Parts: sequence; C-alpha cells; structure tokens
Amino acid sequence: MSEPKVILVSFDDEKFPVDVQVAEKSVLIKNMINDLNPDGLQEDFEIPIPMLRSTVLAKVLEWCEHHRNSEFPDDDDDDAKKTAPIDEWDKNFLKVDQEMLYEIMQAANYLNIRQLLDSGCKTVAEMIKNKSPEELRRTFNIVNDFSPEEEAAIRRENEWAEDR
Amino acid sequence: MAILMDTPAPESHEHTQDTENDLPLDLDIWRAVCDQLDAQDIARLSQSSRKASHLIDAVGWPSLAHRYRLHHVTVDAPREAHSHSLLKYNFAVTKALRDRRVLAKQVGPSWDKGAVLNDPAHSQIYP
Repeated sequence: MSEPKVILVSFDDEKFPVDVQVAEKSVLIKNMINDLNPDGLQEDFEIPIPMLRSTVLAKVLEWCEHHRNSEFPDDDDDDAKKTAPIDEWDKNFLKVDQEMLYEIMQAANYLNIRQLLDSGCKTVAEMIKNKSPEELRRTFNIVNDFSPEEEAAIRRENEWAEDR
Repeated sequence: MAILMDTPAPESHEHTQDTENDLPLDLDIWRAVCDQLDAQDIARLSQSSRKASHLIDAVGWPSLAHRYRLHHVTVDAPREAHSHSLLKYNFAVTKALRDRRVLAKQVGPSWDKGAVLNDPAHSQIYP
C-alpha cells in the first residue's frame, strides 16, 4: 500500500497531492499534520490553503520538491542566514515576473518556509542594491510623489548614508 | 481526512493588484529585505516616494540601527528605539573604524598647556 499523501487545496480548488516529506518543508503544514495526526498519517490528509492561487502553490511546491532532501543552516544562526549567498537553483527558480516573485514570498512567509523566503528577500535586495532613486522607481514601478523641495530635503537628510 | 482553515479567503492575489505604485510585500518581509541592504541602498529607496520613505522609517532605519549598534557608556536606561542622530553617529563611528579613519577626540578635561609648550615641535603654535 502506498504512503498516505498530503493534499493541498488552493484558493481556486485545485488539488496538489504531495509526499509528507515535501509538505513538511512548510513549518505551518508540518505543525498542522503533527497536531491533528498525533499517531502519524494513516490516510490522505487534505489541507485547504485559501490564501494561495494554484499557480503560486504549484511554484512553492516545486521548490519544496526540489529541496526535499536539502539541509539548511541552523534556523537560529542569523549571521549564517544573512551572509549565505542565494542557492544557484533558487536564483534561477526566482527568475519570474515581479508579481509572481512577490506572491511566492508572501506564500513562503504565510506557510513559514524560511529558506524560500530568505532566497526571495535576497533576490529583492539584489534588485535594490546600487541603484539610484530614479532607477528604483523604474524597477519597482514607483511613482515619485515628492515635490522637488521635499525630494531635495530628503536627499540632504540622507547624505550621511552615501559615505561608503 | 480534511481540515478547515478558518483564515478568511481573500480576494484572489489581493496584495498584487495594486502594483502600479507599490512595494506590495508585508512589513515583516520588507524588514528581512532591509536586513540585506546597507545604508546607501536604504537611503536611496527612501528617496523614491513617500510610501517608500514611510516603509524605510518603519523597517529600514531600525534594521540599520540594529546592525550598527554600539555600546555607549551612559547612566541612562537603554533606549527602546534608536534616534536617527544616534544611528548616524554609530554609522559614522563604525565606518571610520572599518576604514581606519579615526580621529582622536578629547573627552576628558583640557590638557595642561605647559606640557604642549615644552614640546619644541609646538613652539610655533604656542610661542
């Protein structure tokens, strides 16, 4: 008899049957499985994820499947977490349009998949680094709503930070 | 077996529909993004729009203040939040130490002028 599956159901009612090991990459889902099945999974276990569209859930599960055997730095080791470069596979995986990138990050935050969220944050940080305010506006589609006087004032106020 | 999550179902991709002028991520995610940025990048982001400026006030500067915190000898109780001027000061001190651009600053009472006058090298300054 095959192992029981975890069936994740997206906002738009699409069902994603996955192995327990894959689903448990999400701390939220892992806790849910353990809390509601103290004797272990005996049968398929369906979990609705109403926060996520199927396209986003599919991407998140693709990441979980790829990393099912990956080991990550200690959760409490903040420095290791911040300084570790983005995993090469993750870097390519996150080469998506900005809307999808944000949705994956929101999903990782909601499902508590720390390593995926870290990779997303580093990707967004890379999009910000070494850009002028004007370049940032273009990158993130931001409308400049400062008056010229306000803009000059905030630039003066932040001059100290330009000292590299 | 199935369970029900009592999280209210949102409108589909609620936070992504207003991307015309937006940084559409939750504040705690922006905090993690700002942890990856240095002062220059944080400052430039804050100059891009009012919303970005508020965002940086909420999470960018506190993230930087946390990373550039220094111990200051004081009898005051520890601050709950860093002031902007303290952040600037700590940032300047840390950068100066890192770049070895340290200037000695007198913190005690004035030196005895006589000691300086005895030094022939200073006789031009204090004839």
